[in-house]
Formats: sequence, C-alpha cells, structure tokens
Amino acid sequence: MFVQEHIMRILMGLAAATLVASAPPSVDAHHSMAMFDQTSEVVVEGTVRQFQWSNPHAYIQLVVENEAGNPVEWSLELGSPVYLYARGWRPRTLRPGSEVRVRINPLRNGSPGGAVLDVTDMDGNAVGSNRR
Amino acid sequence: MIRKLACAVSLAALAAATPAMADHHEESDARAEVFAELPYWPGYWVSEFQAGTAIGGQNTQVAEAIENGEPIPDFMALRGADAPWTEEGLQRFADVRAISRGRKATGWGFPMMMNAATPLQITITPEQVIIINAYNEARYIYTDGRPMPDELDMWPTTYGTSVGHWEGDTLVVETRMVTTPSDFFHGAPPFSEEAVYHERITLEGDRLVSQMVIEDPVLLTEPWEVEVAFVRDEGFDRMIQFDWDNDRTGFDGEYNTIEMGGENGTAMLLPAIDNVLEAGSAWEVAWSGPMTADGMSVTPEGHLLFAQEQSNAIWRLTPDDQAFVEYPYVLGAGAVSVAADGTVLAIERGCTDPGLNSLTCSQPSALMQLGEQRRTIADEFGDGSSLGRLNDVHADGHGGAWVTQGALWHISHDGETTMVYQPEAFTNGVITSPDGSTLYVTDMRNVMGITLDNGVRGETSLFATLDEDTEGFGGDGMAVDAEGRLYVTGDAGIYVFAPDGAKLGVIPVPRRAITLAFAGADRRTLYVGAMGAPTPEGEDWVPPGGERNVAMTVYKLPMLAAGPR
Repeated sequence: MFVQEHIMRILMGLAAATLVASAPPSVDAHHSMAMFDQTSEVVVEGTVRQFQWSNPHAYIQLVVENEAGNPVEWSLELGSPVYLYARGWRPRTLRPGSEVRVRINPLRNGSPGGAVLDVTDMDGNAVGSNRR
Repeated sequence: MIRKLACAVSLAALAAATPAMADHHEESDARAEVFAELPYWPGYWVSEFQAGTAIGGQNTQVAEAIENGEPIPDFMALRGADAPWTEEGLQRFADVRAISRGRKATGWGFPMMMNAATPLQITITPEQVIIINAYNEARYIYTDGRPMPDELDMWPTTYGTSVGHWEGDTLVVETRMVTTPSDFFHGAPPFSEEAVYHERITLEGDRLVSQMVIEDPVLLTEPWEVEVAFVRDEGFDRMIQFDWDNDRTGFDGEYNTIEMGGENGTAMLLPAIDNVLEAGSAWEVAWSGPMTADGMSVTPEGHLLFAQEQSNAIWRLTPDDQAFVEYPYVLGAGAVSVAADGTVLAIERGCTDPGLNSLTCSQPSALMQLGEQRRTIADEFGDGSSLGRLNDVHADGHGGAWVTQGALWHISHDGETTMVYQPEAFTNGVITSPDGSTLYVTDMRNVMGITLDNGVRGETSLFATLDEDTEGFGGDGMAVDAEGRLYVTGDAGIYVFAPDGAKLGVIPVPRRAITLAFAGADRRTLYVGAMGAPTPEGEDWVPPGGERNVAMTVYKLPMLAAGPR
C-alpha cells in the first residue's frame, strides 16, 4: 500500500480526483506498482510454459493447477532484463517445463498475475537472485 | 618487374603523404591533451533513489524508508509533480494522468531517461558527450564549440537537440526542440515544445549530480529547478540493448493490469515435437463466436478461410485476427478448399442441418466453384440422388475434388461422381500429401492412405490409428505440412504423423478440434477450429432454445513446421 499512499501524496497537490487510480511510473517498471497489492504475498507453484525475456518487463508464464484441478496460466511480472541480468538472471535461467515456486505481490484485480518477489526451485534453492 | 614498380609507387605515395601526416600528428597530440583534461565517468549510472531495484521492479529504498519510518524519497522528481505549472500546465498534467491508464510506450524519452532506473552510460570525447541507456535511447551533446542551431534548422524530436560545453569538470548542456515528453511516454511531464532544458552535470564523489533548470514560457510560471542524481548500481558489466516490444500494460477499469495469457482454455503445456513444435509454444485465440468455423483452407497470400454453415458464408481471417465474409451466399457452407492454382471450391450443405430444428427448405447439397467463375460442379450423384449432407472437401487441382459423405467420393470438374473408399465406420476428413502421391481419409479412429499415380488410384491401406482416442467420433479435419507430415484432429488433440505413418506426437488443443490449416505468409501458423466458445462473461455459450450448439473458437499456434505453398 505504501506506494499508493506515496502516489496519492504526489497527486493531492494537483486537485484532480480522477487521478487517484492512475499513477506515476515507478522504479525500473515503466508503470506504477499500484496495480499490485504490496500488502499481500502469494506463493504460486507450477510449471513454466514460457520465460519472456523482454522489455520493458520480463514475464514468467506459469501454468498452475487451481483448486478445481484445472490449469490456469499466471503472468508473473519481473523488471527489465538489464536489471535481471545484474541480479544474476539469464535468458535461460527458466526454461519451458521448469517447476518453480514464485512469491509475488498479486494483482489487485484478482487476475492470475503479480509482481515477482523471489523464485525458488521445488527444493527451495534460489533461482537467480533477488537483490544485488 | 611489376613488383619493383609497385614498390616504388608506394614509397612515392608515402613521401607525398608525410607533411599531411605531420599535421595530423600535431592535431592528434592537441586533441589528446584536451581529452586528458576531460572528466571520465565510466560505469552504469542508475537514478539515485532507484538503485537496488528488486527483480520484480519494487523500489527497495522506498520500502526501507517506510519500514524505518523515514521520509519517502521522491524517486522520480522529473515527472513534474512539484513543478511551478501555470493553470494551463496543471490542466495538461492532469489530462495526461487521466489518459495514462493502460497506455503503452516504447521508451522513456527525454527528459525522463535522465530520471529512470534504466542504466545510463556516458561517453565523453572532446567533440561530444553521448548519453545512452539500455533501451538504445541516446542523447548527442555537442561540445565542439558550435552554437545551438538556428531555430529554422530544427524540428521537435523525442530527445531534442543538445549543445554543451565544459566549465571545469561540469558539463553544461542546453537542450531545445523536445516534443512534448508526455506524447512519447505517459509518465513524463507535458512540457511544451518551447521548453528549454538546462543541465549542469558534475561528479560529486560517487554521485553524478545534474542540476536541471527547465524553462517553459507556455506552461511554467517560472524556471523550475530540480536535481536528479545517479549512482553506480552493481551487477552491470555491459549495456545489453534490445527492443522494448513486450509492453503488456492493460487497464481493468480501476487499475492497470497485465494483459493475460491463457484465456479460453489456452493455459496448457504443449509438448515439443522435433522440427514441428517448439517448447514453450502456446495457443492463442484468433476468433470465437456462436456459429461454426469449419472446413478450413488457406488463400494464396496466407489468410485463413473457414466455412460458416449458419451464416451461409465463407469467412476470411487475417493474421491480425480480423474476420470478414469473403464469399457470401454459400448455402449451408460446410467446407472450403483452395486448389494450388487458386481455384476456390466449397461445399454447400443446403438445408441438411439436422440440429437447427426449424429448417424446412429443400435446396440440395452441392460442390461449388466460387469466385468470378462461380458455378455448381455437382448437386447429385450419377443416379440422380442427393449428395446428402456433404462433410469435407479437398480440391484435386483439376477443377474437381474429393468429398466425404458416408463414403469418400471423387467429383470431377464436370460433375461425375465416383466412390473412392467405402469405410468400415464413416469418413470425415480428406486431404492429399503435398506431392499428391497419397490421398488420406479418416475412417473414425483409423486414417487410411490411398496411393495416387497421376490421379489414378492404387492401393488402399491403413496409414495410422488415433491410438489415444477411445470414445468420440475419431478423426476429423486434416492438414499436411511441406515435409509431408500429416496432422489429424482427434479427441486427444492434433495427432502428428511422419510421412511413413509413425506417430510423432499429439498436440493438445483447448477444445475439441474438428478442422485445421496452416496459414500466415510463411504458412507457419497452425489454425484449428474447435467446438465451443465463451460468452463475454467467460461462461461457455449455451444456445437458449435447446438447438445444437454450433459455437466455435479458432485457435492459432506458431509452428516450426510450415504448410505447403
């Protein structure tokens, strides 16, 4: 929630109520982090369908079984590859078929997606690293 | 003799060049001296309050400030929230924010690239300073003493025109003719094109500090002074530049969101098949609706065609998923087949649909040629009986076609009908190998191969079996690729067989596929028509009157294999 509060502080001076839902870009992301619920953490486990090593964001497309046993594809957002590289990630750090556990801040709207906090394999070993 | 002469010539050339080279050396020495006096700012510079960004893009400094109860750093001051806007400026600032939801961009632009986490590299030479970021956004700042170009020589650009000079170790830059920054990137301030940007950039210890003063006679009440600074973040060893081409920002009505994959059943893992399908590939929805998309074929330019019985039309589906009626008035359109010469044949099922409850008309089924030479090729068997509910069609390249209806039939260009194969169960899909030497037809869970020699039929044998299908109606639509592999739609998905009948794999499909074709300019997109479709609410469509559900979805898949041309 902190980023959203920060944004509201910035925007209040602008006297425009319509601005509240929109947001400035933050950090490496080219869009606001307000779309993610940063007060909530979710762990999703599944099989990598695709690792999109792309700008302005990389994505892990993870196929996860839902409670009914049906596959659901999660779109898990990472920063840009240049940053991932600096944190030890490479284009083939994840491959189709890799089974991983991903901790995320989920999307606010409940869609199967989120901002990645960290990634581990099924034995709990870190994949890439999270910070320098 | 020739070699001696050549030697003499080159010596002469060297002698002649010597005075000029001496000048050049003097110039080089002078330049080297100037160069040696210039600052050197190596490394990868990241906006100060954004260093340490986590892999998910989270600003760790903001998080730490919150945790420690410290003031939150204004990590993107250049955005202009604190600028002395005029009333008009405030309005434009608000307008840009109001339309920024879900907007996509292709980079940061100027001035925002000077306040982004995206690292900058700064190359200093006596003549110019180049500031470039990891998205290939570059600023060329000329320090060779030239003045700012005349206004008539300039036009507004995303990065503007910059001229600079050195005052000691401070780079002083003036930038003009920048297009309104928020036009390029929605998170940027909406300065007018009359804005002038002044920067004084100095290395202070390990911080690179830029004092900026921005004047905008249109939108600012006074010059806006703002400081941005950079630090060297760790882990970068080179600039890795590639396109900004995967902006998946969406908007859900309240917040931005990620444009999702996996809709309409496409959340599935597909197997890699050598030279056919790459690991990580995924189905995408190309079309869906409450009526059929059956009997697929491809136009010479690579657009998909499908038949829609209920709208009495052959539809065209373009590579960017635009669908429109290509051939209207094809009564009960059941299937379409484009011959190698571009001739378009189609099946009219007339009024034979048993599932729509209310058909009382009596028009016959027919094999039609469409286009300018539109004609009925046949609408009855040799004995005068109806062709019945024709199923699939495959043009024979000689103006006629193979069609399925119970048995497999051949209809010649002049309408003569011949039974080709009497099935054990029933036929459905029909196609020929790309070299025309084999005719394939489904017989429920069997696929039969019939040899063809210049159109003359030879032996019929079992080519392959859909061994993962145990219930249902077995094989339906078929396709071949340029290498002669055969693709058959079944309950388990798309069976892929080598030309010798060996099963190479099965590609699962989100819904039960009944027709397929390779399309796209390079024929490397596999389209399938599958039964069922979701409503806008995401529930599967169910016809309200209890009639047969004819809703279908067309999915497409990027392939390594290509269809024949």
